[in-house]
Amino acid sequence: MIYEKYIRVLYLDLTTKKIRIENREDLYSYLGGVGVASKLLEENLKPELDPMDPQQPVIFAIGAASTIFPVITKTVAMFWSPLTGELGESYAGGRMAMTLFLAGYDAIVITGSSDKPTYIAISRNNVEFKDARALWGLSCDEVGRVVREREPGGGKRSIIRIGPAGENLVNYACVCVDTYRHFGRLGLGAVLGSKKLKAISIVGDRDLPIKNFKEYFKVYQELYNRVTDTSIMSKYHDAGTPINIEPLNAAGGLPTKNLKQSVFEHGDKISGETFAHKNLVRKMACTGCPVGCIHIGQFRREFDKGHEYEAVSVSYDYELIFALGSFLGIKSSDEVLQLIEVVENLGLDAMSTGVVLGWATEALAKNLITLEQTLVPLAFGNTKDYITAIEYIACKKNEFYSILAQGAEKASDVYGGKDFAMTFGKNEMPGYHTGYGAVIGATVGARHSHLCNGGYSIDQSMKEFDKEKLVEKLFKEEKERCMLNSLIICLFARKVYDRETILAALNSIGYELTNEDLDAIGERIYKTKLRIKKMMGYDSKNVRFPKRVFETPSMSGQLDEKVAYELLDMYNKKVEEMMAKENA
Amino acid sequence: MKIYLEVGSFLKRYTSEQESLEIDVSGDKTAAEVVLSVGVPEEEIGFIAVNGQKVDPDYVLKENDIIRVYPLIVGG
Repeated sequence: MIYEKYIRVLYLDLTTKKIRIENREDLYSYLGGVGVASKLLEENLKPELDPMDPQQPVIFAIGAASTIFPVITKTVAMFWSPLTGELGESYAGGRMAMTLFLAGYDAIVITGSSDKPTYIAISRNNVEFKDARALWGLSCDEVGRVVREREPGGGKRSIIRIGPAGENLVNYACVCVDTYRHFGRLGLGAVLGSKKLKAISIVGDRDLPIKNFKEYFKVYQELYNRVTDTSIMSKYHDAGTPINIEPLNAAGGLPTKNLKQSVFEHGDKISGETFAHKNLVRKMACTGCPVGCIHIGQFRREFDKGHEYEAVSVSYDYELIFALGSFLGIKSSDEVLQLIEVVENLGLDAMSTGVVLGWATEALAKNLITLEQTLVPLAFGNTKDYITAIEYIACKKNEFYSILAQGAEKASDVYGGKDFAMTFGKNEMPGYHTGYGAVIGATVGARHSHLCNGGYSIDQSMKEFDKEKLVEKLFKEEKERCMLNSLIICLFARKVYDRETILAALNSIGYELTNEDLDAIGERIYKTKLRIKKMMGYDSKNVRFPKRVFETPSMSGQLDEKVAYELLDMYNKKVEEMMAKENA
Repeated sequence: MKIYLEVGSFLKRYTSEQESLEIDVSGDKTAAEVVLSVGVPEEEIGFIAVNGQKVDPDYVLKENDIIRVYPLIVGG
């Protein structure tokens, strides 16, 4: 809590409907965000129980500088992922961090399970458990609309919710935050579904004066100017992350048709420029961000005969365009938006959904599964059948779709095709076939995301491939991002927030931190995550790489399986050394 | 000699929104030198391709080469 030497934690038990608030001085050294959330997850986890047992905790936490400085806008969620069976960690923007901050909470710990569908209304002085039976079964869009009408606090309110996929415990169900943002990855939606928790509304309306305004404002203004007057952030506002389609496709790093290809022959039809010209209608920002990187695209849908059309708006980003575009061979921006809309409303992670469908499409073509199981003839480029298949995943239409709802790793365990089940650490791959950095980075990353250590970015910046340097960079970046995510700085702005800037910002609001402190915080958090992973049964020696990674050339050329395993060993040794020091 | 420079998407802001430029160069010039000479900042360059093939920045240009400059891959 700003200006206090403690972390204020709100504990909610859905079984007993009891709440309590604790001011935790012992968590202060974890700064906030992922640091605090990791520690709370570690102490509340029940390793002897199933990941979706009602007693398992879900943690939400804001950062040490959330909403106080520009582009520090995110909330972290930590949980036991039903998809990977280990560390669940996901971030969302929107208004949630601002409302938690102004409601007076640094973190929320939710345990237990309700006996009937429930939503929680949180405000500064009150927490209410409310009947959500009438909301059960509604789409993310619909439930958002109903809670908006029921709950006060418009403008200072955040509403997070799950869709039918979360209710039906699809392992990669997401949580929608304020319509256009998400806790997308690793199945938080299913965990909330297992607790019968349909939505949370948070109202934050506290007035919080800044002490030492002169020093604070000096730092704020410098930051604001760097964010708005330089080109560091402008690309995110301009066409946004979809500009990646063009360079990745030209360089041979765009995963296409279940990574059978790394170049998409129709890449220009789903490029950032194409979306900007054909579909872009609005840009939005998370509260506290002057950039505005949320791109809203529109497509036209005929809803009745006689030329009856509606305009449908959805947000789009690079990762969604890759997963529901090139990865499925979809060759128009309108069709990509149609697919995004379906996963949005059902409450599915777009990335996992696309990658799972990529596996299913190839498995059907290879006769590992049959049309009797898929019910629709899945084929690359066929949007209509993919829409139906996504609906079948969300409702677990039959035994096949129930297994598909558990992810590509599980599906390939059951039906075969492991060599082209594109997962790293059981999490569906991100949209970067850029080289060893991306492959190893996602595999060793604490949550198996490209965001753990930015491996794709290391591939891009390394002039010459060097095993030692690559492993060292991944390791260093993983720890650095633990520190950044304790604040929680949007990673798009990581070049704005260098160490000097971070220290100036934090120290202007009452912290007394040094560069060495930031190093120690990063390492402390990383170690905590590694301990949690071990509690969850994760063993880094058991991970595998899908053969397809080595068959299809990457942006850095053909990758060698032996080299990949060698790099994995090198990274594992670094982790072992770090943990051995801790245990010594 | 004449060479051609194509600039896509985000980088057009550095060439007054021109997507295609015809440039006269004299003597040996590298692909990177030409790209930088039109105002594209080094830190914004992802990679450069000449005649459809990715090249090193110090590739020495030939008559009628078509250069395309690509932005950095961005993200979190």
